[in-house]
Amino acid sequence: MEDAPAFGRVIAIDIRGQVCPASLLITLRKINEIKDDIQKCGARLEVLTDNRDSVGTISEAAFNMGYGVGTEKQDGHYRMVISAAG
Amino acid sequence: MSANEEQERLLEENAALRARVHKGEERNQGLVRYIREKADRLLTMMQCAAGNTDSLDDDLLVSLDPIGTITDSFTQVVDNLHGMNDRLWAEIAERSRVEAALRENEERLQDFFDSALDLIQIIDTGGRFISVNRAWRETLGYSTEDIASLSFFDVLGAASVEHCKTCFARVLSNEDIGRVEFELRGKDGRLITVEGYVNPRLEDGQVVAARSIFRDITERKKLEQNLFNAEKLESIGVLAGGIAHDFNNLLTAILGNISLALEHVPESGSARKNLGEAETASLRARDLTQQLLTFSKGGAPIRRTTSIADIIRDSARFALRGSNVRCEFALSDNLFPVDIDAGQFTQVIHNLVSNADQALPAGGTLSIRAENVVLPADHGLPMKAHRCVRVSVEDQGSGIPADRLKKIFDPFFTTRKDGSGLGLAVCYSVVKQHEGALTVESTPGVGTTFFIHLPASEGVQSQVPRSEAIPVAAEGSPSRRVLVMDDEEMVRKVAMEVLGSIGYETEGACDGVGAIEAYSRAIREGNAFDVVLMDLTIPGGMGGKEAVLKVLEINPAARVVVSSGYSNDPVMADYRSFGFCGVIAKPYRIRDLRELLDRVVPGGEGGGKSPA
Repeated sequence: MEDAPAFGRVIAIDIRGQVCPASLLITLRKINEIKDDIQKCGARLEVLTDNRDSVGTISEAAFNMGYGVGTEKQDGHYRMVISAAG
Repeated sequence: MSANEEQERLLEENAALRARVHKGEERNQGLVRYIREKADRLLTMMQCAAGNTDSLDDDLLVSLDPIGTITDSFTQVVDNLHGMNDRLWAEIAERSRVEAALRENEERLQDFFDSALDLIQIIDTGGRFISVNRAWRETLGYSTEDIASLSFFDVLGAASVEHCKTCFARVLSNEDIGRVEFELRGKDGRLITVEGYVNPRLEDGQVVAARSIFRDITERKKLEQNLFNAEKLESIGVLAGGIAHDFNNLLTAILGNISLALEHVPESGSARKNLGEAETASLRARDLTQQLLTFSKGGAPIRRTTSIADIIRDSARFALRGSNVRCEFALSDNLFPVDIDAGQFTQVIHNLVSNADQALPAGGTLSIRAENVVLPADHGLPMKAHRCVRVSVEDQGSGIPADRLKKIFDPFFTTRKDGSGLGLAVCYSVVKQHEGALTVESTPGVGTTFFIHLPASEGVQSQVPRSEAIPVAAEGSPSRRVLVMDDEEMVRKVAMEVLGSIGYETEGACDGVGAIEAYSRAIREGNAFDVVLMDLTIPGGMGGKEAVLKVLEINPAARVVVSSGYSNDPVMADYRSFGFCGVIAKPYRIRDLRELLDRVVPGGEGGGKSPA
């Protein structure tokens, strides 16, 4: 589930099956862990969730922390990409 | 230890352990509760609608480390807020800088707008003013408050309203007006002529305002008018100069023939009265020609030593004919004689009196004084002489304000709608050409006095006979010979006849060549001429100016008199410099001619001196 942080690389977590606040806490913990890579090295965190409410809470929290968030609905789940604010 | 005892101990230990486990569980549950409460509070602080941690079982809750995770995230939220705050401050600073720059730019534009000498205005589509610059306000005299309640059409001269409405309609249909000229009306009612450009201001393709830049051309228009007047005057001058010569030749013939006819009419005959009136009319025609020339050219004066009193009396009376203004004269009996051009001074007095007459529309009294004065060394007048005749023309009119008084002698300055602005300018010019000074004093509400200071003559006043009697040659005196040169046969003929009637022997020549030939022949034949009367201008032939020099080559003592219908020709004013010993302007009367010949021909001794 975890990739090694690298410049411009995409690190993905799959939290399908999780609901808030667990989905949020898992995502936040991952952001905290790789924040330097995101902020300084252009890494992006890809979050796959199938919980609609989680999309809102994760987006809002990431936005408050200063990240940019893009969300795309895919087949049966949502793909969120969290990156340094543009 | 017995088995029972052992069992009992174990039970006790078990109970103690259970109690400790229970206590530990209680403590753990307290911790989990604590974590749950803190996590919920932190989630709330994160302002996330993530719900609370009730949905998580204790193990999952603990494994997710919510306090550490949210605290770390919260630190990032705070950092982000700090960053946002910094960016906001930077943005505020930038906005302030831009605002200051905009303000400065606006002030610069306003300054530019206000320092422009042209009149700039912006009006809305209803014609109301949006903005005008300082030059606009100052030129028209309206304040910012006035403008707020005015429309463009309120400040137009009546004659310009229709034209401006048409232009405005064109601008509203998105047309630029390249050049427009019209009149604006100032707050004090003064009309100001402007020319300028008008174009529409668009917003989203719609005309929302009309912008205009106008230039005040009132002065320029006035100058153009003055130039037009001057050119008109120049044309009159050319015309007058053109006809004056022929006109004067005709008048010479008319006056000469009247004089001759009078000789043959008995004193008591009624025809004598008719002829006298014809002569008067001819003399008036002569004066009219002269006035035209003086008016248009301000010709050099042809001076004669004379007393100014008669001129003053006659001219003033003439100017006041039909007027309800009464004239009082106080003219000293022993006025110094002055060297003046009588025709030009007639006009000066006429103009000053007419001026005073117009200052007294309801009638009144005009005082004309003439006296001798000896000016002190520091008299301050723009003239050299000290011994003067001072003429004053005083009215009791409304007076002239100080600002107008300065301009009163300027050509084309007039306060009358139909005035040419030349009357006083001509007076000033004529007096100046006589080395005199024309000045004015005026007190508003009291009246105006013009002063003429004229240098006293060093010469002796000529006595012009006022009698209509035609002088004849003294009986028994030797006949004197006169050569008359004129290209106009009728002038030549009448001059010869007139001279014959007063006892001269005459011979005629039609141009300079003929005159020189006749003059030489007469000397060769021992029958020299006492005087030659030469026409100044002979079209297509040698005129007097050239012929006099040839005659003087033959006889340096020759006496040559110049005569011309061009009385303002410089030769007439300065005839001596050109070799003539006398001058007579055409048309002339018998007595003018006789008086001149008496002066220039050695009295009683017939015949000029021949070269040795």
